[in-house]
Amino acid sequence: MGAFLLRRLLQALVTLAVVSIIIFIGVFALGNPVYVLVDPSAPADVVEQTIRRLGLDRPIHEQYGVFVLNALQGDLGTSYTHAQPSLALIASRFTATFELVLVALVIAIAVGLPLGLLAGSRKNNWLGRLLSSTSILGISVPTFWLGLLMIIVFSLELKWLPTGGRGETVSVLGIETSLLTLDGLSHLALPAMTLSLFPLALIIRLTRAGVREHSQMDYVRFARAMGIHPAKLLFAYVLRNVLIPIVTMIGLVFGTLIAFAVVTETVFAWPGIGKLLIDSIKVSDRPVIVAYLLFVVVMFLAINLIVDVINAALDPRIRLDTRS
Amino acid sequence: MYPKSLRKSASSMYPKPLRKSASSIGTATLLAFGIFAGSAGAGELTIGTRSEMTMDPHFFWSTPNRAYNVQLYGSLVRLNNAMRTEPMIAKAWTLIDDTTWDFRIDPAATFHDGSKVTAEDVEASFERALSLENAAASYKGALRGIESVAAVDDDTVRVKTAEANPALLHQIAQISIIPAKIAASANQADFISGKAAIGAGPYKFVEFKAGERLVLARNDAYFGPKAVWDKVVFRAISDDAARVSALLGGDVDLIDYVPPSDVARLRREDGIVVHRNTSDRTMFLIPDVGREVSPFITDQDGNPLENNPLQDLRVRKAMAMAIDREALVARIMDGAGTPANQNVAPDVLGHAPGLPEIEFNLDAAKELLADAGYPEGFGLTIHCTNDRYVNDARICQALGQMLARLGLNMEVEALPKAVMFPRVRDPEGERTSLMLLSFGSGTSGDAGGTLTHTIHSYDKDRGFGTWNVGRYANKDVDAVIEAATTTLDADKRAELQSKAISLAMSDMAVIPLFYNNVIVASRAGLNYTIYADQSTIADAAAPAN
Repeated sequence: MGAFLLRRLLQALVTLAVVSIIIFIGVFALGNPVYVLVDPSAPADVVEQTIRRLGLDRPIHEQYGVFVLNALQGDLGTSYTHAQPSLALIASRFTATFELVLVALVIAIAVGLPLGLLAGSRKNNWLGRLLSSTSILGISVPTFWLGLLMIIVFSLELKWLPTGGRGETVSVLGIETSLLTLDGLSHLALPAMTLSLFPLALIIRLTRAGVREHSQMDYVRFARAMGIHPAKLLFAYVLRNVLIPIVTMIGLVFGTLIAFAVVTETVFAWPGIGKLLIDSIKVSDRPVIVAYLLFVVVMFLAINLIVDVINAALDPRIRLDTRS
Repeated sequence: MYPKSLRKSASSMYPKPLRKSASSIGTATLLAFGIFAGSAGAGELTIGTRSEMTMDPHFFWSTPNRAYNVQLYGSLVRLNNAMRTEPMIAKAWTLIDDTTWDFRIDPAATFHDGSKVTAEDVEASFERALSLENAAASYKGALRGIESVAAVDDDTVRVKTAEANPALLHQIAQISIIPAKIAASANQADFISGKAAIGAGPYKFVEFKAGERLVLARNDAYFGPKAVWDKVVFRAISDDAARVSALLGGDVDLIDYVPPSDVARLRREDGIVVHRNTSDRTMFLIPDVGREVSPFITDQDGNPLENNPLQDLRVRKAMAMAIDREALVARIMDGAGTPANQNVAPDVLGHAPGLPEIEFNLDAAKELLADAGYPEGFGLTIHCTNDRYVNDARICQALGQMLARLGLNMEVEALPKAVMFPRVRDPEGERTSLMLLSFGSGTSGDAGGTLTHTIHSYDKDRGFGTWNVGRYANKDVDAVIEAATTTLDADKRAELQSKAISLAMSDMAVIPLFYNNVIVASRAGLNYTIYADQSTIADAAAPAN
């Protein structure tokens, strides 16, 4: 386990270094951000002074050097538009996204897993066919359209839920959460439902496929021949095996949703990091873009690590230490 | 002005069941206001706004930030809805000589912490605005030609300018005034937490949540006319569709930057009023007239051209005449605009009133093009932003089609502003051959800003022609523009400016398209005064009686 973690950490550092160079080149190619940010009527000499003061007139390798030196001291730059260190800005918005994604995933798992088991446990039943065809819909409907549809139905027509924003939040141990107030929950409902549809459909399909595949396997046949109760067989034996690819998938989807909940956050004016990224790209807020992308890389590295550890716990045959 | 609300009876003004308690309190107070007019404030106003506030008042100079700043922090003078200056913290000012101005601070002016506003605070605020570290869009850009701002005594501030400077009042209207001790010590986090968000404006700070909302409350100790609303919530909703649905759903009372394509629909809705008026912005095309060979001009087969047809006045005129401005405004802008014959809007001081309209006449345009020696046309790329102005990418497409009918082989390139602006602003870059730009006059209060930045020849050292991407250069025009920048008499200055714009238009230095509109929408029962620079101001909204 120790050797595994050390190896993973080294890999992570190399990945981070490589990705930071790619990000830096990409952002550099966008051009000088000062020209976008500055008011059109600012005179040229002020613009030039600003560029010099921010070090944006220096060649790319020097800018990168300065960036790395500062980054090693924990300083990823100050946002040009928000007047706040970019890392602090991301951290302050992160809880909103995390909460949204967490609730979306809980909905997806709580609904998707039972439905998937149900659909897979009986051969060729109408429920299975219905679920697999509707889940295709869930995967292929664009989030943007779905979000607007939800707003039209639940906010504008039925007037049950607000159209957007985060609503009232409560601070628990310094972390803002909208899970504890009615107003907060009502604001959370629509974006979380919108965001959950894709992982929900994915979980249904993966679970159903897994259950159907395993029910043909020898260990299940033997168990059934031994007279083990079908329910016990399904939950104690089949589910455990089926879960391994699902956990891997949930880990990846979790990361993707956090990093790119952009569309949902934009449609529902949810103050998370996705909206922060889009707004920052629009105005060329370079320190925030770079910090955000690096943050996403670190997050994925961490998620993959956690997924590996969980899978090892689920299936003793998976060993972390051995090279494969 | 608001025919929809007038047609309604009072009882049908609030047809929607109000879901949120906050809005119903607002409505209750609003009804009470009708009866006990003037007694108390008008309750709570929630605004869905496109742009979030940068809490530090000296960090990021932009029109939306200035609009927030003037409500919370205040400035020596402020701009009204027509971009004219009004006294604010400065009660009066006198011109000692052409380059020296004395501002007298209103003795009643106090900050939100109760302390008096002194000349020392003003001096410290200007000092901070000029020198703040890390500011990518520094307020220094607003203070061109100002040599010093210094306290003379407790109540008097003296401003010295390099030359006679008629734009001075508009320039100092950009700078927020905060207490000197905060100016000296506060960092950006202090403003975000609200600890240092102390100013002298009609509203005071209550709460700020980044990416979400800013809450202000009426400053009852304000020295000027008291604010209209007890409490104002600015909700940051950057997405157009989300902002419109927030209004339709009753989550907000008012939204800014209404997309023109939604106007017709909003007008049909019960309980929604659309407010609109002309802005100080004009949309126009900048042709590359400066270069012998232009990078995005080819012959009909795509081979580079030896010469630049846009240098020929007849070609520029032909292009101007091939554009159907009425159709552009009606179909692409859904009526939100007026065809233009110059790039200074009609309500802006310095607009040239006597210029002829540019006729749409495709046949005459084709003839002109043939006269100029291009009967077969040529290949041309038009560059536009796709995320900066209302409908910019669609305007670009339409212009491409209109110019194609003239016989030009058009390419349309719509880019994000983050890509486009660095490209055209870089003096060593290849820039564009034909570019779509919109320019407002808010920061100078007259045609001066537009003229010095888009018409005056490019002069990096003197700060002229910053946005003269086509490098139009005419010494006669330059001379008139420069004369205007140091003429203090407003009438004489306006005369010079309209002369400059007339000269430039006879050269077709830029190809004007249309004057923009500002569109705001609210629930019924609210009046809203449009600010020409698209500022979103809480007190521009007031309960309709």
